[in-house]
Amino acid sequence: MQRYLIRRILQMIPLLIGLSILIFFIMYLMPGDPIDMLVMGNPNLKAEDVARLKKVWGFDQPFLVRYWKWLKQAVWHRDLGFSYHWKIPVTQVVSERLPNTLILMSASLVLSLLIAVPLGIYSARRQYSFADYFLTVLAFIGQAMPTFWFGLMMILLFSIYLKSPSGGPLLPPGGMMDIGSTASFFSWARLKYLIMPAFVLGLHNITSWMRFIRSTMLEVINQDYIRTARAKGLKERTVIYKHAFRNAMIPMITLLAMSIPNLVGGATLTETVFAWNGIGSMTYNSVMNKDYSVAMASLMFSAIMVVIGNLLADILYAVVDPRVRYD
Amino acid sequence: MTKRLAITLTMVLVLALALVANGFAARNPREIIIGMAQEPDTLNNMLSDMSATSQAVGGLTDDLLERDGNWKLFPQMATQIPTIENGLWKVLPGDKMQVTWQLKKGLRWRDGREITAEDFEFTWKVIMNDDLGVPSREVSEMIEKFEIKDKYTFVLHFKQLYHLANLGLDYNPIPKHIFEPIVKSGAKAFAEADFTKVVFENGPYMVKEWVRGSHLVTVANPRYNGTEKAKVQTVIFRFIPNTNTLMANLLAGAVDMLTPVGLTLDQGLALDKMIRDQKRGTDYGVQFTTALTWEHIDFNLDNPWLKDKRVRQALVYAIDRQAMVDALFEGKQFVSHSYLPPKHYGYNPNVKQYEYSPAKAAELLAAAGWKKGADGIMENTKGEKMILTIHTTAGNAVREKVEMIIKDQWKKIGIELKIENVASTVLFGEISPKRAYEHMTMYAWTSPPTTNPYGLWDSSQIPTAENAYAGQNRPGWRNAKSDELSRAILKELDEKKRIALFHEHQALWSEELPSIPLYFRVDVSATHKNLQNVKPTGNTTPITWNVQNWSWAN
Repeated sequence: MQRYLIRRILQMIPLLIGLSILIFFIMYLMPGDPIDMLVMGNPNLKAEDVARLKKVWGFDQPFLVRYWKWLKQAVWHRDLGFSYHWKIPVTQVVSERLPNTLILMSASLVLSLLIAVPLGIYSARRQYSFADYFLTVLAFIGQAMPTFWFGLMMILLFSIYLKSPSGGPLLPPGGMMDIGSTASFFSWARLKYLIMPAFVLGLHNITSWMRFIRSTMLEVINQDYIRTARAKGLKERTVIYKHAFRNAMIPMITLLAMSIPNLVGGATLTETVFAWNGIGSMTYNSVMNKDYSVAMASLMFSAIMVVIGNLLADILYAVVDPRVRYD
Repeated sequence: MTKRLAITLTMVLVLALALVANGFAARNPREIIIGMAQEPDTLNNMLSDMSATSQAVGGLTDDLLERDGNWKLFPQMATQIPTIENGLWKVLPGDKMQVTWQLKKGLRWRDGREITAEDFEFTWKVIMNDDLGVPSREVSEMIEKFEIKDKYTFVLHFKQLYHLANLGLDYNPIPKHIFEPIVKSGAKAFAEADFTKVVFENGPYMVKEWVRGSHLVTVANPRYNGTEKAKVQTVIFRFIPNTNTLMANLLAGAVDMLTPVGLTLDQGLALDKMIRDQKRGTDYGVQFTTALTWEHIDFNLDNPWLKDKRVRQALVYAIDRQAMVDALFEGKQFVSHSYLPPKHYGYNPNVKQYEYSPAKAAELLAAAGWKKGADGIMENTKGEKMILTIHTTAGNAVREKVEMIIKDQWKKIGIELKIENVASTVLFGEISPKRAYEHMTMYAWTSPPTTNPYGLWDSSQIPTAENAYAGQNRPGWRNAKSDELSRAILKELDEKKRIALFHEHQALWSEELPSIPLYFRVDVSATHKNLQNVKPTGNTTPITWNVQNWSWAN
């Protein structure tokens, strides 16, 4: 196991370097740089101005020079560079948003699990019942619903149609906190902003995981050892939760491990609709604004998380499933 | 198990509702919340080109002069506007000029330091410092000497004639005592200066807190000694990137107004209708202000077909632009006949106007040697079929509709339009600035109210590989008379004569048609009915230009 781990971790290095070259190159290929965009809003800029500005910001350098500079800075100096758009260090841009994303994504993850797991088990146990069909229909609706539309409908319902007793909207229509509020993340003043985005974001997970748990449960429930468990007179609860559910959870681990990158990657659409200042919208905007250093940092971060998530899934397999061994 | 789940869910819901009861506070009359779809990148407006920045900084900084809602200049930090008549603007032999500025006494930075001529000299040096990356230096680079007469008076020595020499520097001043040490430690320090902490405000408001991605809080500046003190203590900008959510915030009463950096025209029209029908949002009003954003279609004048003026005129005659704006914009945006909007001081209302006339179009095309072929498409004597290609920003619904209308109408006179839309980064990064299009591109120019024809239409401003594609005359218009006029405008100091030159240039332009003029966009803003004195400008002057005068009616 130890040797396997070391080998996997060493393999990551060339993989990540290759990825960084690829991402950097794709962004380099995008036509135009921020100075070209600047000209669109200011027809009075002259040729000399454009040349001077490109030089100041280093946009006149060739691809390899720019990449080498970035790599050297990032690896040797652990400095992710300076954001052209925000005019602050990239680490600051990211660190301002990372906690927001972690909170939103983990809230939505927990919410999804809390709803999806019981409903999935229920659906499997009453296969082909009315409730099963009903949940199946709901699952497909949930998966087909576009996030931004669902988000807007939620805002319409909870912020415009429904009022709180004090006269304001029942739930705030976007944002992350009351202005000037110093309340902690776990107070109502902050939580009320979290409810809608966490649910909207979770809906997709809820519905897909519910279906997933239903099918793995169905598979397990029909195994011989479940019949044996029932035959030896165990309580149904014990059969379901101790014997069936535990085994059904094994494939779920892959799903969960694969959702780790999402935890830090954010969700662009939901963040935009609910004005939630997270990593997802930051990544999108940095690509649109040609804010190369921020885009590089966040895309690389996601790449690293995908790689780590994969490794974690493989390790967890070995932990929970005694049949899996690495050497 | 389901029963227990249901009970738990109900309990959570009840708890939530109970907590909501004390959730929202009533609206504070000492505060205005402004919603914007964009967030400033930085509050250092020397390094920002975002409209969101100028909206946010509008109340934080004063300049020598400012423009009001009618685009009229008034002195803000200066005692008066220098003119030739009052002797503060002098023309010297050898085409040199001197402009004298007198500052109001007792103006202060946010930290209490008095604002003096030295701050302006320092600002000019910052603008002219090649390492600092300040984009625009149109005025500053014509100044060969900055002379400080006394604490409150300075003279700008211009090395050439320039018609806008009495508008001040390119940017509002920054305090020398704060920024001199910063600039000394390098360009990076200047770019990284934390404008939420560093003193730069000399306006009626100052920064209290900026939570990136959420909001910016500004409060009345107690040391402000300029035009008028702020009437409302706190002005908050709330950043909501999705314009639908922004509108929901307005309808939910979570914001008091929306700046022009917000609703799209369609949303503005929908909101306006909702209010008129007394359905929702009845506490608000929507303002549509004609803006300096000009939608047009550039021709490529190096194309042999489009070189012929008659072909260009025919193409414009064949579009029913009036019906188009009526259908698409409910008459809120109107047809343009040249590149200047009616509020521009040099606007000429009597230029050639191309009403919808397929007959005239056919006539002109026939005169230019185009005949309808067997398939109904125009052909020239070489047997080439007139199939024109247009590019615009993909995904822009309005522009796509305009293209469909034009395609349909040109088809009637035998011209086929091929629509090849591209991502905006491709259009503005490659195709348009490098003139890499065969026939046409559709986009908009946003210019300041001082805009003049030189940058867009002088033949020296045609982008080429030699000048690194830097000019803005993207159609490639080469016209000796136009060059003569656009260059004369820059040097004509007598406003009346300059206006005459402007008129002449627009008349020539609308005869020659280097581009198809489509329409001027409007700025859409919305304001709470009790919020008084909000005056949108429709130009680069932010809606917050007079934020200190905004107040709540009881």
